[in-house]
Amino acid sequence: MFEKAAILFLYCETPLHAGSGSSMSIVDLPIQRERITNLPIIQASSLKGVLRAEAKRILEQRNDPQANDKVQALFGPETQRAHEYAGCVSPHDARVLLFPVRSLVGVFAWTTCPFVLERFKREATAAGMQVPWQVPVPENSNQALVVNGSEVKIEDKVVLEEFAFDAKEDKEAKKIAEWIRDNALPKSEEYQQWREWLPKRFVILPDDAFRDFTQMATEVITRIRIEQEKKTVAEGALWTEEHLPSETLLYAPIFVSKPLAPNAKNLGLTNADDALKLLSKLKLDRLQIGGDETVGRGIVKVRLYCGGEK
Amino acid sequence: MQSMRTLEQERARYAWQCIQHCLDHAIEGLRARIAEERNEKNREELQRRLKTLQSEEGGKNWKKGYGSLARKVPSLILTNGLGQTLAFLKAKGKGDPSDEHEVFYQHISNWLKQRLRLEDDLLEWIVNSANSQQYRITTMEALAFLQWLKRFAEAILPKGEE
Repeated sequence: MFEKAAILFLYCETPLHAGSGSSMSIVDLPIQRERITNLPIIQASSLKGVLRAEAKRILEQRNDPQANDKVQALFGPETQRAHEYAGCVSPHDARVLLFPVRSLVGVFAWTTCPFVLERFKREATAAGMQVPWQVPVPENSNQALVVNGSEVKIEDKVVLEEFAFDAKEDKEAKKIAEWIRDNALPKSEEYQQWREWLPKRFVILPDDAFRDFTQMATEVITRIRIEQEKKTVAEGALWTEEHLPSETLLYAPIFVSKPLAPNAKNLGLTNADDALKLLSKLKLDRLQIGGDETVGRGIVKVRLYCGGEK
Repeated sequence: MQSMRTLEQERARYAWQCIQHCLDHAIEGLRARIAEERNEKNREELQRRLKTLQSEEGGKNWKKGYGSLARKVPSLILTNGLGQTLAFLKAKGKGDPSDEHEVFYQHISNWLKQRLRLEDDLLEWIVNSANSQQYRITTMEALAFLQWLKRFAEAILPKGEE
């Protein structure tokens, strides 16, 4: 069983396409979604692969002679030897915490909803984070909770895409926005402005409205393939791809157990604490997740919380 | 669960009808227009158009046009909104009952009006009386319906070059 937990925050700097492969929906290549809520997710396996590759790259760059062994102790051996022992780092599915939606004023709003916040609170608490806020619930399906002095409010309304909500200032919403700003947004200098924007553009929507926005306000990108001789679209080579928009904030719980690799002790990984420390010392900065890497998609800025911020 | 399932089946059933009979709807509409037309010259023009639609080549081309709308319209709604998209179809159709944009508008509009129990024109309702929440729910319903329409169009309509 797991001994330690951490939370990995992922802030999308470019649109992210973690594809589900099936084309049963309106867009040809939709993103991964959770079955019961239809909210966007990034499946744990996608995330784990990326973390593994990045850990390896970083350790090799540092000329760590044990790079390969350490990666295998953390994430498990290569496929052919997968039966020998399991890795000790288990990322879970990444879920949406804040979803950006176009706004009539203030350019866009970072939206969320009570269900998402409650679920996040549960996960964050399990990972040992201090979560000193309660989740406020909009009074009716047409109300949106904002922070006092919000920039996305105009005449008591919040207008997202083409849909208007009655804006209500809420003290608890302010607490949550500031907490996310301090604990979940990237910490680095270049995000200073983002941290200032967040509370002013923070909106808590009713659950249904939030769900609908994550379905119809994702980035839909049309792609084509050109026939070189004619400079026109090749026949049938027109398709649409769905992306999580940039400025989306996701989080993924990461659970760590005792390292099982036979050589773990030699690597200095005697317990879950050591493994988590190794993970945190990687100082993960940016990752590329999902498809279309070569056209710049899926760049996320990372912040890892692993108990008392090391 | 039971009622949800029935709703999906209803959407699929109506979408299937639309796709199966899309050309018939255009021809019916054109015939009705011809019957109403008093001006001799205009009537001849409409007769010519009817002949084209009834020819194999003309019918195929018309279906291609409708099929490409079925592929395109859902993403238009996602990027521009339902109201804008309906207005686009209306503008392109120019009230010609045999234009594929007009037929397509009628198909979406008939389905939504049936779901919403609306008497008035759908676009008018959206512009004048729908509140924000009704509009959002209607948009989601339109997308759910078009998902079926698109899939059936891909299954049985001839494909145009895009």
